[in-house]
Amino acid sequence: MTAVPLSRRWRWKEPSVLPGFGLTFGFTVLYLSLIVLIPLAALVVRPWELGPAGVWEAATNPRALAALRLSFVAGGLAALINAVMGLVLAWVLVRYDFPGKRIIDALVDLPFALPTAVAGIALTALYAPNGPIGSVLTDWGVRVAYTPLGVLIALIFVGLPFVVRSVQPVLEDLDHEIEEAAETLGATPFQRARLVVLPALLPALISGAGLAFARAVGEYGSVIFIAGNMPQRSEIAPLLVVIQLEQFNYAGAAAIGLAMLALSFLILLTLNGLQAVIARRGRA
Amino acid sequence: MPLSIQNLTKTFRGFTALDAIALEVGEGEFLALLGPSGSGKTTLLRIMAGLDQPDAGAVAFDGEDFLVQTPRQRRVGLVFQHYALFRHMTVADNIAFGLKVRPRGQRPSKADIAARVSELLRLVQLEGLEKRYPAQLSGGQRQRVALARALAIQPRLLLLDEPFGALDAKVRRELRRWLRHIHNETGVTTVFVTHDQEEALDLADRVAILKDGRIEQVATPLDLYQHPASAFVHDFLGGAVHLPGEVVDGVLAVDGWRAPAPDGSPVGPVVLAVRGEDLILSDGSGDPGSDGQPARSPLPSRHRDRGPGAGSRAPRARPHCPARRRPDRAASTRPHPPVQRVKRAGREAAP
Amino acid sequence: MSAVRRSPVRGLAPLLIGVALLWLALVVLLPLGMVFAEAFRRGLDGFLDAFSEPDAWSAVRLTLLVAAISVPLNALFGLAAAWCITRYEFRGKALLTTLIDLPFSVSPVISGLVWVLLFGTAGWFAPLLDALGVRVIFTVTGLVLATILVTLPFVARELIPLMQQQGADEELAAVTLGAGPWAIFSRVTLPNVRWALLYGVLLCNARAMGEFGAVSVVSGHIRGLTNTLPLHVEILYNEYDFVGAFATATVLASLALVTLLIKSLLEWRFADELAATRRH
Repeated sequence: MTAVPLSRRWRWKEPSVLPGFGLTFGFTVLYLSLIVLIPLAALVVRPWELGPAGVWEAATNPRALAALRLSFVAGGLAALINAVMGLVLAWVLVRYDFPGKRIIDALVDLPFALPTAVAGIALTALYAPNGPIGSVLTDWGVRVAYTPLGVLIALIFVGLPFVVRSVQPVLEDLDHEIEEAAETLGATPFQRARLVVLPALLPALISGAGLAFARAVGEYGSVIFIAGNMPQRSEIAPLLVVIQLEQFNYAGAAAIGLAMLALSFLILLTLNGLQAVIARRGRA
Repeated sequence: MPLSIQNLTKTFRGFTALDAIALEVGEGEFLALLGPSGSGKTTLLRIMAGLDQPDAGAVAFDGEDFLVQTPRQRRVGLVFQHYALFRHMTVADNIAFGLKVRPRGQRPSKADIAARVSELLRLVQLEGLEKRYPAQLSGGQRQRVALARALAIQPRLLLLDEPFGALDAKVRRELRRWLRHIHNETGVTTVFVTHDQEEALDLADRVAILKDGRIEQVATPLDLYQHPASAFVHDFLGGAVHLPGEVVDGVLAVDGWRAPAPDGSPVGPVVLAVRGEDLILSDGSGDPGSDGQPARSPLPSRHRDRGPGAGSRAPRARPHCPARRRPDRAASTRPHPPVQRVKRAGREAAP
Repeated sequence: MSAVRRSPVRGLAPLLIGVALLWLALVVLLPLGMVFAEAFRRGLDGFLDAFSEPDAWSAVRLTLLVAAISVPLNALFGLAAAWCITRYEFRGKALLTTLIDLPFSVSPVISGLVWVLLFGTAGWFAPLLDALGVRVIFTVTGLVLATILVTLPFVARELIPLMQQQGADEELAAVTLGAGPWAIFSRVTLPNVRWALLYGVLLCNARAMGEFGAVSVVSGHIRGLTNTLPLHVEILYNEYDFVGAFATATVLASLALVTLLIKSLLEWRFADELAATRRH
């Protein structure tokens, strides 16, 4: 008797007795194609109606460049601040017990849940020169609303939950014995935090900050009210997309959108690479 | 033969899980598939249940081609290794599931289902626990619910995948005895997978030993132990010591020690496989220190009690399913102690 | 787990707790309080005036309508995607999973823009739409499409890790017991994922009702016709009707608070089932 040598046959899908693959896979692919792939293909393809030089001009003219710089620099700064404060929040929520902790924990997600337009007008009212915080700051000579600083404040708000929610589960799972081992070896609390805890949290911290950054770069609703939207000063890239679109400059709008997307992916890719390097070092 | 498997082959992405398997299981028989992990035993079980399809070969049950039937048509009860109990259903709902999902015409009435459930609860000795959820049960209790659930559909064939794998040693031993009891009571043809040789030898009528997707030997526990068909089987069933030696002119020489070679021994460099229990030490006067009985045997008492004299008669083999011996793969017939087996020296064993 | 430990440095715990609470109060609580404070700046009458406008009510209706279409569709998609991704082995699965997450890393404005590029007056499909006499941009259809794109990952992202963790054994057991496709889905799979499904639907709904950037691009801000609640807030604000804007915003803020409340209750009650999806 000889067995038919089927072992080398290339299989796209392993057979299964569970029903419904055709239906669910077909629906998933169709839905994704219609809702995500075809629309995003339009974003990738349409700018090139302008020709390569036209795309370059649309994405790097002084106004576009200023808007992109503001979105990315403010987004980066906000992510950095959120990384630090998010770490503190996650630490406090995991390591300490205090009354009302559950409510505080739930409130961290408010920026996820609160519609961005609502956040936008609330922040503006707060930091406007006649607002409760704005008036105090104005006395000190600091202007927040209608300046790049206002953009930063809004981006800090929308990015707050990301780092907390990335770091929190890792910190919860962190083995206490490692810290205790360091303690028995004579490490001071600060040495333990710096040498033992922080390296373990670093991948989650980077990933959370990366998510906050990606969100900040594309953020629109919470920013446009407080930013004042002065071209080349406090105008963010997503707003410029909207403005181009209102002038029916589809290709120009798509060019800026594409530039945003490409830059975001480049930065996220770098962060992912960094994370992989750290993770590999952690395993070795 | 109710269950007949021929030339069954299955590969996963170039890895051969089953290689031309042939196996027959008799009516009401209790068969163990024994082998190390990766030997293909679970794959074989899943093909019987209809969860996997083979690349080639045939599986027939009572003359029906199993491979063209859906799991539902096969009416096979499968007990999963980790039980796969429906976590959001009570014990009673778990057991009743297979009856409730029958097509409307074949579905028993509510009262019949309830009666069947309580009958099964009694059989698996879980009366009073029908309202519990799986998370509220111990491992052994979950195992029994899984068995009751599989039995509820009155399976023509009962399959168990490592039924005691997730339990601790004491519960294991208890459940093992109990499973044998259930089998005797229901009489359903049963195949179970295990990597524990003691479990297989203790429970099964016959044991099929798998290695690398091939069946090494199928025999009664006693036969397996006394007439292993290959060094692997011999080794797998009980730790044996392998000694390099040589057979010249009917004399076996191992490190200066000489003895008459058993009939049919190969000539030239050989490997002598010896189980410790088969060695008898004497003071040199030629008089064995004891009555010649081995001091200890891993073969469970159920078989050992029959004594070595039971010899070639397989105590539990049914007349219609004789143990298939493959003497061509074994180098010798059964010698007297201390020489258990002699086989041709492999490359790895040559000094 | 003994998560709560005595701080080894005297005074560090109160200090860190203080910093964390202050930061949260400054960044999150103050803006939230501001919404309600501004809404009632002219008392209850001023607040209620905002809801005497028919435009406000049409915005509420439109918001509910858009959510009522997009959320069930995305829930259905989430179930289908989670089923085929977690229950079968096939090539290209990683790519599929990545594509599902993609809308989260795209700016809402871009999620609106892409529909204009397809269906706008100079869009790819504009001639086709003209021939059919159908309009997408500046209509409810456009709002729905933009909302679906923005909220597409929510349900799938909750279900995929959970179903991955639960494994297919229960469904396979159901198959061997003779269950058909519908029985497997309705009696085994759905009950096992119901709380995660509800959780995903909750988050999806919150975002669908609150989405601003994407719908703002495709809406055209036609009062009474294509204005959802967040867009209505923007219009009132830009018209300097601050009390009206904040009064409308309290509806959305309350929605957010209710969402957080139910979310916390679900997390607390079904911690085990939602553990697989704790990370956002």
